This record gives sequence, structure tokens and C-alpha cells, in this order.
Amino acid sequence: MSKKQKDKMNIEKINLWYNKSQALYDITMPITTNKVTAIIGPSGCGKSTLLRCLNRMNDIIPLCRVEGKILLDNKNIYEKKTDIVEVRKKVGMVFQKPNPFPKSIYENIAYGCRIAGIKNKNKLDKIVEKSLKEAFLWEEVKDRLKESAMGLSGGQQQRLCIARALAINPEIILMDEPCSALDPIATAKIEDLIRELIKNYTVVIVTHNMQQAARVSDYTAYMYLGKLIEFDKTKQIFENPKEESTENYITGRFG
Amino acid sequence: MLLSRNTKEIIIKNIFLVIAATSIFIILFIFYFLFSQGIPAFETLGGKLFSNEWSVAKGEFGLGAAIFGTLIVTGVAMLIAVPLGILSAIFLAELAPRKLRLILKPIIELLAGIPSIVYGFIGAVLLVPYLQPNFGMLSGYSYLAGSLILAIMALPIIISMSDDAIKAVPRNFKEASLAVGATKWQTIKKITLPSAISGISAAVVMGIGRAIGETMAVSLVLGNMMEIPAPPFDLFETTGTTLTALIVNQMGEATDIQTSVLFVAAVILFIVVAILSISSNILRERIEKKFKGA
Amino acid sequence: MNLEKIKDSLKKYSSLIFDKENLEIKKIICIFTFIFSSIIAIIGFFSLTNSFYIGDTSLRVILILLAISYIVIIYISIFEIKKRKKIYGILILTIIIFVAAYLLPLLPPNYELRDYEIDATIMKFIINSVFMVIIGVVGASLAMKPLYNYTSKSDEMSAYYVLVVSILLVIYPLIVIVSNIISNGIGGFSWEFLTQDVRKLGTQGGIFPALVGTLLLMIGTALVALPLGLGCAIYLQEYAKKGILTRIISICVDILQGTPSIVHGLFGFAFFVPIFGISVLSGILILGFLTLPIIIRSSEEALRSIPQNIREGAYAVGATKWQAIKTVVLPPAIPGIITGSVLGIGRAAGETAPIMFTAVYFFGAGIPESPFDPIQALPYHLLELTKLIGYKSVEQNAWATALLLLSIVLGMNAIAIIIREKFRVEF
Repeated sequence: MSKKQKDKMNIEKINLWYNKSQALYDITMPITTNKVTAIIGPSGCGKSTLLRCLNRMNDIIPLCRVEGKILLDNKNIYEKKTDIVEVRKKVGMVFQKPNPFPKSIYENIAYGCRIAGIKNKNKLDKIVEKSLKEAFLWEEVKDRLKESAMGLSGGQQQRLCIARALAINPEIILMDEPCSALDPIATAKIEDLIRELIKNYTVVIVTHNMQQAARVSDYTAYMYLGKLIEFDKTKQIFENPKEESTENYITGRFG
Repeated sequence: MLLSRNTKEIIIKNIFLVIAATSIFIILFIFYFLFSQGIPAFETLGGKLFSNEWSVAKGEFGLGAAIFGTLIVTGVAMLIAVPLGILSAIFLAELAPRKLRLILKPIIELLAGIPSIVYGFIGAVLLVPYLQPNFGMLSGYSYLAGSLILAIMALPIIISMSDDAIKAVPRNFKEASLAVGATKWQTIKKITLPSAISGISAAVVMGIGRAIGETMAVSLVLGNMMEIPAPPFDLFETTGTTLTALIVNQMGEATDIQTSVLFVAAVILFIVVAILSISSNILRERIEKKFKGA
Repeated sequence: MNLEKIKDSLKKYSSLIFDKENLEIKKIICIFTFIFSSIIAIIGFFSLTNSFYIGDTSLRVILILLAISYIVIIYISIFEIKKRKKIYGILILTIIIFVAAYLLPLLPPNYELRDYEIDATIMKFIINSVFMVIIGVVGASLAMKPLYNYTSKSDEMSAYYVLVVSILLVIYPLIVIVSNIISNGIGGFSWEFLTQDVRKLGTQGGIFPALVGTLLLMIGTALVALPLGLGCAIYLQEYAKKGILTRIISICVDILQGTPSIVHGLFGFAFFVPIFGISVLSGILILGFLTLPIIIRSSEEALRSIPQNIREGAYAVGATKWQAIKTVVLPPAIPGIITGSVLGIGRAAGETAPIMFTAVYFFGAGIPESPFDPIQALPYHLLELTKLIGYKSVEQNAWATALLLLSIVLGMNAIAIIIREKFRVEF
């Protein structure tokens, strides 16, 4: 298998501006299939901005302009004719603060399926169960699927959001600091979950927690002030970084 | 005057207390006065106050026709204004590009600022003469004219408050829906609107309040007769009045008991608007509770 | 928006439509039908509001043309896009159009509803226009669907079309009202109009005393409502303990704010007039009470928008409560307070019902010499002129009065909005 085929996504020379100020400079990096790629860096370095490019979430921000290519299975998602809705069905997203809908647990997960046109109750039941199991939440909520999702704890809500993203069968899952609002036990559960997920999915995770990146990811990208400073296998980055800036960040001299 | 700082503070606080108390007293006094002036009518006429018989000469003062007028004119106006208003609010909040919204929102506020006498004037010189020939009416003064004018007057408040309600839905929800592959319209339909429903209901309630309390605009386009049209839903007949138009028409020349009846009408309006006001507040508080989880 | 940007957008849109690769029949026919339907709706709407008739033959031709384009769309939908189930809507629409094309011109010129006891006659052109508007709007939104291959995107576009139609329907009356007032009223504006007294029941002369009266009422209302309202708001927001009492007070303020202005007028008529007579004083008191809740509310909000840590910062350096209010809370709140007050006073200036039997006469009152004298006022003047239309030639003066009143009230609103935007303090 050639290197290109192994890459689920390829970011090629992405530049981004918020109104007149540039936030991303010439980012180029691959996202490898069935692996976890982590993006780390100090606050404001552009990690979340870059992540949101991968499913074109930045489109909803007014005055945001993007140049460059992002290839998903070798097709540029920033082409004019791209169907954004289809892209977002392939590239799911979990946000920093859990944001379940003010609906029941069942309906939260079924929402994406209904949007896609699936109405058959049996099908929906199966998908809901499968997604909740994949998110390690099934056992805890299987008896209260009709209750409001707002009654769950923070960690449960986040796993619900992951299940919701899984329900539409994406190929890639983007996670924007998914554990920053959670306690250590909930965090540990989600980290285990991530390692399970890559059996079937590709994961890109943004985190400001270096140890988390070291624990969870296979590849790591270090960003600083909108530029990609270094990208390599996680082991390399943390044991033997090539750039001085990377080393300074890893060893905690700043950030 | 050399006063200790503490004393000065206490004096100032009490000055404000007195001012506030005066304001509240004024409000309560108005409430009390209205009710007390209406009592004589209740004592003399009792239940006949709500009949359909109105004849000053005979001393019969049944408000039925005016109540009917208020209900029907407000009802039809809302039938027009509520769908139109909510749809326009969705446009303003979700669809309009920033620059367009910056132009449109003040325009809507402008509509809200037009004095009701101007609406009445326009109704009398533009709407009524339009209706008469085009619908073969005896004259354009009718419940139809009243409803149309009220609809235009209620629109700005419905649009403005509904727009606020839709904009208040946390961005979280919208983003989560988009991330799962929904289109913007699907998100609006399934997530944003249901979340904004309390605020939109509050907007509609305020719109109803505005329509019910409107005086000058309706009195200038109605037939102003105290009778219910036959058949009752005949919006084209040149007759009819509302509680507000009744008060304004008869205020100057009313006898004692008649004036008391007018106060009863005022109290009815007052109570209805009070209930609507309180409902609107309750609805708006429910919004805060709903989003607490997020 | 400079010329370059406009050229770029035009290029972008024309390339979307005329791109050689995409020059499909589907696109052409859908866009054509969409534009044609919309034009039909617009023609129908203007025919309805301006009473011009559409000839029978023209109507038939237009409708049949429209129906043919829908048949083409149905054909494309079935064979090219291959979505058979979704075309039912358009199918029904096409049938309706054909039936209408045959039927409508055959209708009698009038429908006498008086036979059914309703006092109206439905004219044929009304039926035609309304039909055109409905079919035009429904048809245009349905024509969008095949363009996006009947996906959720097409539902979105249809819905958006309906939303745009709604906002246009809302703006239309505003444009009609304002343009009519300006164009008809401006002719009546003259030096004479602004400076002379009312003569001959308003058919001649001007509105000077009414203008003065309105200005006096505005100033008086401010003098009554501002101190009371602001003081009350300061007490409620800064001093009072939040509890059941403040809640009840809040509800009372809301109720008073929603109370119809005629109720205020009736109150004043029964309470103030026996004491002060029909006078500017009565008018000021009534309008002041009317405006009081508005000023309380907006001042409260202005004070509430100052974050708590600003106050705490002042206390931390040893300020007393009043010192803190005077120096760090009130100053940034002033723009909000002024905005609310200007809006409230502007509204009071336009009120008619509260002053009708309590402060004003149509003519003869002149310039008051004491607070116990009656006055004239613009809103009431407009009311009386309106009642005289048809009996006396007061139209020109009525339009001019409306324009003047509208200018004053909207001018106040505009000032309020400008103050709000210019002096907005962001925390």
C-alpha cells in the first residue's frame, strides 16, 4: 500500500484568515487511516481552527476565508462543487463543551439518522444501541433512553455526543479538546474509548494536555502561532523532537 | 451642611426610597381608581353589562358587541400577523446576511414607532377607500379594515421579539446539528425553532396585547356602531366597534352611569392586558430554565 | 461595495448558470420556471393592490405557458432525476393551473356575496390576482426542488424562498405608508403652515399652536417621568433587596406599561380634569404616568448592564454606595437611560387618546398662558382633520400634519438609536 493510500485525509498548504488577520500559515500534513493524530500547541496557536477546517465548520463563521486544499479520500473538500452536508456525514465532530440537544437520549442519537432519511424504528433502535455501545455508554443508559439528555453527568454527556457522532457512520472523527471540561475519571474513560475507536475509524484530536497526546495518539502535530512546527510519530515528538520550539513546549518551558 | 458620611448615605437612600414609593403608589392608585369607578355600573346593571343590548336612551349598556368586536378584530389580525411575523423573524435571524440585517432591523423598529393616529389616518385615507370599490362594500369602514391595520401594527413587535428569541438559542446546538450533517434549514426546523418556542410565544402574546389595546387606529377605520354584524363573521359590514373605540368615542359626552360602564370596559382591557403581560414574563423565564443544562 | 466586487459576483453567478459543462436542460427550465412564477406572483400582487385588470386572453396565455413549463419539469424529474414519488406536488399544481386557465376567464365579473348575507361583492380581478399570487409563490418554491435533485438542499431552498416572500410582504406596507406620507405631505409644508394658527376648521392656516402644544407636552412629560422613573429604577436596582416585594413591583410596572393608552386617558379624564380642568397640566400628568413605566424599565436595564465587579472595584477603594453609583455606575448607564427616555417621550408625543378630553382643543386654545390652560396638539389635530376629510378640503393639511408628526416621533427614535450606538460601552 503506497503512503498516499494510507492517508485518509491530506491537508495541503492551508491558509486561513479571520477578516484581515491570518490565523493559519501554509499547513501541510497527512491524517493516517485508522490512527489517532493529535494536534498540540499553546493557546491560540490555531489547533481548533485547523480542526474545524477538516469538516468545513469554519464556513459558518462570517468573514472567514480559507485557501488551500484538504483531500478526503483524494478529493478536495474545498472545491466549489463539494456537498458540505456529505462531507460532514463522513467527518464527524465532538466539541469541547458537551452539547447534547434538549431532547431524550434516544432522540439525540437518532437525530442524525432521521436527518439522513432513516425512519424505520427497528433500524433506528439498532443504530442507537450500536452507537451507545461503541461509546461505552450503553450499560449506563440502556434503561433510560427516553429520559432527557440534560440529566446526564458531564462525562456521560460527552460520551453521548461521541455516540451521536458515531450514529451516522462517519469515517473520521474530529475531537476538539473533548476532555477539557471533564474530571480525570471521565477523561480516562474517553481516552480508552478513543483507542478502541480507531479499529473502525480515524481520529483527529486537538488537546492542550500534552500527556494526553502522548498517551492516546499515534502521530502528533505541534503548532505554534498558526504554523505547523513539527509533525511526526508521537514517540519521536516526545522523545526526540527535531525543533527547538517543540522541545521547549514539551518540556514545559512555556505554554 | 456638615453631615457625617453615614447620615448622608442614609438620607440619599431614603430619598430614592420615597421616589420609588411614589412611583409604585401612582401605579397602584391607577389600578384602584379604575376598579372603583367601574363599581357603580356593576351595582346598577350587574350581568346585563355583558349583553348585546346597547341603547343610551333606554339606559341599556351591554358591552357584548364591543367585546365581540375586540375579539374578532384581534383574532383576524393575529391570523395574518403571527405566521408572517414568525417567518420574517426566521429570515432576519438566520438567513439575512449581516449587512442586510443591519438595515432591516432598524426598519422594523421604525414600523413600531409610527404613532397609532398616523396608522389611523393612513387607514382612513388609503385602506378604506381601497376596500370599498374593490370589494363592492357600502363603505370601507369594517372589521376587515380594522384587522388589516392591527396586523400591520402587531407585526413589528412579533418580529422583533421572535428575532431576539431565535438569536438567543445557543450556538452549541446549531453547531452540533450541522456537524451531524444537517442542512441549515433542517437545523432551524428541528433544533433552533423548538428551542426558541418560548420566546416566540412571548412575542405573540405581546403582539396580542398591542392589538387589543389599540385605540386610534381601529376607531378611525371601523363603522363604530354598537352592534354585532349579521352574520357575525361578516367582516365586510360597516358596523362594529371595539372596547377601545367605544371608550374613546363616548368619553366626552357620557352620562354618569355611562361613564361608569366605560370604566368597566377599561377594567376588562386592563385585566386582559395584565394577564397577557404576566404570561409573557412566565414564558420568557422558561427559556432560561431550558438552557440551564447547556 | 466597490465595482470590482460587483463584477466578481456577477462573473461567479453567470458562470454557475452558463458554465458550459453544466448547461443542462434541467437548470435552464427550472430557473426559467422559477423566474416566470415569481413574475406572475409580482404581477398578481400589484394587480391586487393597484386595481388593474389582467385581460382574459393574457391570463390564459400566461397560465398555459406556466403549466407547460411544469410539464417539462415533471418529464425531467421522472426520466432524468428519476425521482418519481416527489413529483406529486408539482403534478397537482400543474393540473390546478390548467383547470384555472380554462375556468378563470369564464367567471362572471362579480360574485354577489350579498345573497349569502355578506356585505361584499367579490370581483373577478380579485380572484384572478389572488390566484396568481398564490400559484406564483407556491410554483416558484416548487420549481427550486428539481434544481437540487430533490435532496434536503432543495427543501431548504424552497423554504428560504417563502421566508424572503414573507419579509417582502412585511416591508411593503411600510414603504407604502412612508412614501405616501412624504410625497403627499411635503406639498403642504410652508412657512405659513408652520407658523400660523388653525383657521376655518383646519382647511386654511397652519398648525403652530399644535406644534407648540406638542412640544410643551413632551417637555412636561420628561419633567414628570424622568426623575420619578430614574429614581425608582435606581432604588429598585441598587438599593432594594431582591425578594417577593421587588417581584410584585416589577409585575406592576409591566402591567402599567402594557395598559392601553385610552385607559390612561380615561383615568386622567375622571381624576385630573375635575381638579385641573382641561389643561396642559392634566395632559402632562397623564402622559407622564404613561411614560413612567417605560423609563423605569429602560433605566433598570441600563443599570443592570453594568457588571457587578465595577461596583465592587469602587467599594474596594472605599467608596460608599451612593459614591459608587454616582461615579462608576451612572455614567456608563447614562446613554442607555437617555435612549429609553427619548424613546418614551417620542412615544408620548404621538399619543392621541390620553390627551383627547383632558388637555386639548382642536382650535381656539392657542398658546397657553398658565398650566391650567388648555392647548392644541399635533396628534389630536390630525385626528380631527381625518374626521373632516370628505366634508372639507383638509386633505393637504392632513398629510402635512401626518408628515410633521411622523418626523418628530421617528426623529426622536432615530436620535435614541444613534445615542445607543454611538455611546455603547462594551464590557
